[in-house]
Amino acid sequence: MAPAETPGRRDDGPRWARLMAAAQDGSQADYARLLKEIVPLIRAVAAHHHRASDRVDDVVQDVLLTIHRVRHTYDPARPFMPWLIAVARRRSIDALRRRIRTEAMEVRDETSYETFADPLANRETEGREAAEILAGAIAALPRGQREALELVKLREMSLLEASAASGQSVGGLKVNVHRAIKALRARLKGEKDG
Amino acid sequence: MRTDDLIKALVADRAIDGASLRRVFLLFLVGGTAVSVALFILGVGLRNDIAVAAGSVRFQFKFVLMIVVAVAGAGLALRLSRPGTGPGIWRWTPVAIMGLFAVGVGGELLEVPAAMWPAKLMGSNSWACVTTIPVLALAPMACVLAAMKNGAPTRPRLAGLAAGLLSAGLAATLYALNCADDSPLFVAVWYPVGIGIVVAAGAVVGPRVLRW
Repeated sequence: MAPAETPGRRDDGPRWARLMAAAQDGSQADYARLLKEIVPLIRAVAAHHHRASDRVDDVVQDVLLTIHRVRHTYDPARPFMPWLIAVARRRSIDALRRRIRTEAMEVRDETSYETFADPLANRETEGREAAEILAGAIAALPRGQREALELVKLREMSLLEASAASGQSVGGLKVNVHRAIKALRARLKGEKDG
Repeated sequence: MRTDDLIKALVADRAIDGASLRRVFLLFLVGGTAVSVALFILGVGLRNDIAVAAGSVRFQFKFVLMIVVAVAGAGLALRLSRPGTGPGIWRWTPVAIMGLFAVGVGGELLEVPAAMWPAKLMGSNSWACVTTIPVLALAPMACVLAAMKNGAPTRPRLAGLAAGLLSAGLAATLYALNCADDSPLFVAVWYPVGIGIVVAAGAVVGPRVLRW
């Protein structure tokens, strides 16, 4: 991921260190603020290893739980950022490993999912699966493209509205939507063939 | 569950699962060392000429060197118990230890005639040295690993290795009080074998035991 896309400003580290030190001393307000503020950074770490947005959410929550459990291991005399990133990265990679392991052991038997003889009746589950794949593919797009696609195609904003909402120029939006659709088409075709 | 709800639940939970890393580390370290000291007194014992030996430079060098190994292991193990904290300047301690070994060996080679080198190197306790150090390291190793579990090592193999270095250093310090071979030639060959066994065991056990 490009450094520019990583949330977190330079002064976040020292402030979060102070908030965590206060949290360790029992300040619930500081703890709540800290947890809220670090979510985007954790999400960025998780998005590095996981594509589907629901999976990223799972990892974010798992990381938050872990941070809660091991918060006594943070030493306020040391920088906070490396501590946070080490915990987040570790849990995120663990989740990835678990997923790969379970997927390797799963046996795919398409017919066993077909509960009804009528092919039309099975459509719903297939549709859901396709939606999941599509969501994963969208989540994997570069940020600019994803934003453009979401605003223009999914929320059906006009180009001008989308431009105001995202800060991208109208021309940039057009290019990004085009690129996003092209990337999705290539990706989904790959998933079907592979 | 929504992330905001999770955060609310976490903030409401004020119980802290772990205790101060340093305090727990020290407590467990003292406990493990006490077990090894007892084992040493009951099963190994001081060498007969300890009063004389304590005055010899070779003995002192050996003893201090093993304490340095233990201290290096302690510093590394404590640092590696925390997420995101690497070995830092402690990463150079193994190099420093090897330097000390080299100084000792160099001095001995200058001091002792070449004809006596093989005898000095082989000594008379090599087997005892290689086996006693791992045995005496068992209790400290178990305690140090338990203490590190109170932390959250993100590099469990390195953390296990450090735990091995610490417990081997403690064991070797004790064993040095029994071992009659004081020549740095002997110390530079056989002690590292005994220590190496423990360190390797730590590196193997670390990733299994220090999972979190």
